Amino acid sequence: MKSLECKILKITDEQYPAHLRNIPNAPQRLYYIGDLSIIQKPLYAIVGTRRASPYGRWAAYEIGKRIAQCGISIVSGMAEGIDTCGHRACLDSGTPTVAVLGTGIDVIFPKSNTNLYYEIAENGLILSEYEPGVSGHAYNFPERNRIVSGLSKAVIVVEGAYKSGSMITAKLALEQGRDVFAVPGNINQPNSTGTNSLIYDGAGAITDLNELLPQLGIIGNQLTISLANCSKSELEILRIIKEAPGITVEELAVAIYEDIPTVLRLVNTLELRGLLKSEGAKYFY
Amino acid sequence: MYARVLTASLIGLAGEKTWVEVDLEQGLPAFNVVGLVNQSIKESRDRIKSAIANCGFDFPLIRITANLTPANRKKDGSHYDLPIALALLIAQDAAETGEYDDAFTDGSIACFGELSLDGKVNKVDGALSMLIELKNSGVSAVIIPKGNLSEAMLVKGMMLYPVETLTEVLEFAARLKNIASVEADGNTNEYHENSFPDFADIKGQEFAKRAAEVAAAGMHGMLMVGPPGVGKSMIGKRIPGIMPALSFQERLDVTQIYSVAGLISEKNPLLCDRPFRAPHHTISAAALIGGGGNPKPGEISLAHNGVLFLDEFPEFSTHTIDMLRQPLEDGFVSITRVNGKVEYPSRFMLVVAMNPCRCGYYGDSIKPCSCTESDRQKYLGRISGPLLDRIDINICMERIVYKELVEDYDFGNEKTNKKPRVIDSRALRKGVEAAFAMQEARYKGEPINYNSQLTPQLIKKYCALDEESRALMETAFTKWNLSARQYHRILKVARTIADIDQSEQIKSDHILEALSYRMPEKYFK
Repeated sequence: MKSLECKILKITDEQYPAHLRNIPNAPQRLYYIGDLSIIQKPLYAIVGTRRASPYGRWAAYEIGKRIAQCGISIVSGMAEGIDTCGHRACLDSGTPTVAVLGTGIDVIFPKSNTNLYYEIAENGLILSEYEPGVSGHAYNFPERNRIVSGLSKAVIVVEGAYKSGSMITAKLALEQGRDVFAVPGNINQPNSTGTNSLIYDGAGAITDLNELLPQLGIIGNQLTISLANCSKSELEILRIIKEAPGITVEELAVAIYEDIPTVLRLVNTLELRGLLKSEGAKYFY
Repeated sequence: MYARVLTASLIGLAGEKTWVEVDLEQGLPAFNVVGLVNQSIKESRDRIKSAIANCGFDFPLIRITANLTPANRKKDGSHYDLPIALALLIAQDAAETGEYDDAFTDGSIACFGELSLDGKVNKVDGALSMLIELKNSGVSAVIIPKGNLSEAMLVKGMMLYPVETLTEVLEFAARLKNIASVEADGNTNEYHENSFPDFADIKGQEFAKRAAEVAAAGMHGMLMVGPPGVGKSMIGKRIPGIMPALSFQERLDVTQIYSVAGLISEKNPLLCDRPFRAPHHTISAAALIGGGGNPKPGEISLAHNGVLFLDEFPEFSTHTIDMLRQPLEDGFVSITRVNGKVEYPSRFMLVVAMNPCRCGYYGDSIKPCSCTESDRQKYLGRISGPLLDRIDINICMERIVYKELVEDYDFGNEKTNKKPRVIDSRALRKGVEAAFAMQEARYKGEPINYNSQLTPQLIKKYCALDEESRALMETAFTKWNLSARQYHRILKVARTIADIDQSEQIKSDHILEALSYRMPEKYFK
C-alpha cells in the first residue's frame, strides 16, 4: 500500500467549512486525507444500519446514485452496510465522496473496507477528529456522527433500529438544524422501526425515487429513463414491480399470467436495459 | 496331490479370472496361503479348517500350500474360502467313492463364496462384477452362494448353481449328487414408475422447479440459496425423479458399483431408479470420494448416473469439497492406495443447497437477519471458488406467502381461458427427456454426453450464436462484468434450454433465460 499524506485542519483555518463551525461542540481540529474543496458546500449524508437488508442496500445505492449523478457528494461513516453502499454509489457515479471515521485517520475499520478506504483517499476526502492510531471505541462512533450531519445539508436515514447510531445522527442533525429524510420500511422489521418512527415524527419520507431530487431540493440533470421500445408486457412488469418492489419471479408470473421462462426473459431484458434491478430472487424498480 | 479350481478376484469394479491351486505334501502340518493375499484371506484358513471338519471330512494333517494366481496381484475379500476348500478336498480325495468332474479342474465351472464355521456358504460382495468378468472370459457355469442368486440373474446366459453348504459342492464335484441349475435370464424386472416424490408437492417455487428442469436436462450442477424451510431439500430430493429412466446397461453399471460396495438388496438386486445420495456434512473425504486400504466406492460413485445432493453446503469441510473437482470434471475417480490403483465411475449431477448467511434469514421478508456483513462474507467465503465455477445453475429462493401455499398454485386465467399449467414431475421429465435425446444425437462422435461437459472448443462448435443473441451476450457481458468462465456457463445453459425447446439453434430467448441462472460474481467474495 502506498503511503498517504495526512494533514490537519484547525477550526480557525479559512478552509474550515462555516456550516461545520456553527454546530454545537464543533471539532477543534480534524485530520484529513484528500481534497478539502469537496466539503466547502453542504453535502448529503446517507446513514443507516451496518446489518443492512438487500432492500436497504438497494435503496442506499439508488438514492446515492441519483444524488451523485448530479455531481453532489455523499458523506457517510464508512461503516459496513448502508454507509458502504452510499459511498460506493457515489464513487461508481464518478463523484468524490466524504468519509468521517470514528477511528484514527490511519486505522481502517472495518477491515473489509480497505479497498474503499484507498479509493476514497484517492478520489474524495477522509476525515477524523481522533489522533492517528486511535482504534475504534464504541463511544467514538456516535460522537463522529455529529460531524457527518454537520457537513450536510440533509441526512437520509435508510435503515436503522429504534435505538441505533443512525437515530443518534438524525437527532444531532435536527439539533443542528439540518433536514432529515427517512426511507420507510416494513413494520415487522426491527431495522425499519427507527426510520418509520422518524417519519411518524415528521421527517421527510422518501416514497418515490423519481421525486427524490426535487424533494431534496436538487435541481438539475435528472436521470431520464427511456420507456420507449418497451413491449406491452414489459411495461406491465415495470408497473407491477413499481407497485410492489421486492417481488419475486413466481409472483410476477401469477400477476401477468405467464409461465416462468417468459417472465425470466422479460425481467432480464429489462434489467439489461437498466430499467430494473435484481437482488437475490427479488426485483426492484 | 494337487488340484486347482477357477474363481475370480475383484480390483475396484473390475473382476479378474483367478485360479486357486492347492498342493498337499508330506511334512509338518501347516496351511499356507500365498499369492499376495491380505489379512481377510489369511483368516480364511481357520474358517476352512472348521468348515471342513464340521462337514464331516478330515482336515489333512500335512503340509498344505494354497496359491492364488496370477500371484502378483494383491487380493482381498472372503470369497476365496469356497474355492480354496473345494480344491483342498479334491486334492486329498475327500469324497472317496466319487469320481471328480474334470469341469472343475479345467476351468469350465468356476466358484466363489464365503464359508462359515459350520460349512454353510455365505453371500459375498461384488458377485456381479466377478460374474461379468467370468462370462467375458468364456466361463459358462458358476457355483455361487444362494444369497447372491438374485443379483447373479442379471448376467444373462450364465448357468448358475446356487449352493448352501460345502458338502453340496463337494458331492456335486464328485458326481454324487446334482445341484439344480438356474439359467440367468438377464432382466429380473421391467422398469416401473420411479419411486421419487413428485414436484407437484412443492407449491409456489416455480422458478426453482424450472431451474431444476434445466439443470437435470443438461446434467448441470445446481446451487440453491435460500432461508430455511423454502423447499431446497424438497427440490433436491425430486430431481432424480425427472431424469429419464436408466437404460439396462446404465442400470447394470450402477448395480455393479452397489454390488462392490455391498449395498445390493436381495429382494431387488437391479437398481432401477437413478441413485440419489445425500451424505451428511460431517462426511470424511474417504467416504465421499472412495477409499480404504482396498478402496471401496465413495458417495460420488454411488451417485453415478444420478444425483449427489449436499445440503448445508458451507458446513462441509473445504478440504473434502475441493476433492470433488477432479471427479466432476472427468466423470471418474482414480484412487491410489498401497494395494494398487482403482478407478470408479462418478458421472453424477451435483446439487447443493445453502442458507444465505449463518442465521439463515438474510433478505427474508419476515424474519430479521442477525448477521453482520462480515459474518455473512465469512460464511459465504467458506465455499471453494473453483467448485462454484463448476456449477452452472445458481438460484436464490424466497419464502413463499401463505396464500400461495394453501391455494392451488397455477397459471390459469379465466379472462383469456388459459388452462392452468400444473407443473409436476411428469411434465418436467418430458422436457428433460427431449433434451437428453437432442444431446445424445448431437454428441455421438464426441467424448462427452451432456451440455454441462462442453469444453470451450466444443462450445465454439455447438453453441454458435446468431446476430441478435451475440449482441445480447455483449450487452450482458459489459453490463454485469461477466468473466470468461461465466460467459461459457451461460452459453452451456442456453444450449440446454434450446434443447428442451427442441431447437438446434440457440436463440436470444434462450440466452435471456439462461442469464437468470448466473450468480452475481460479487455474491461470493
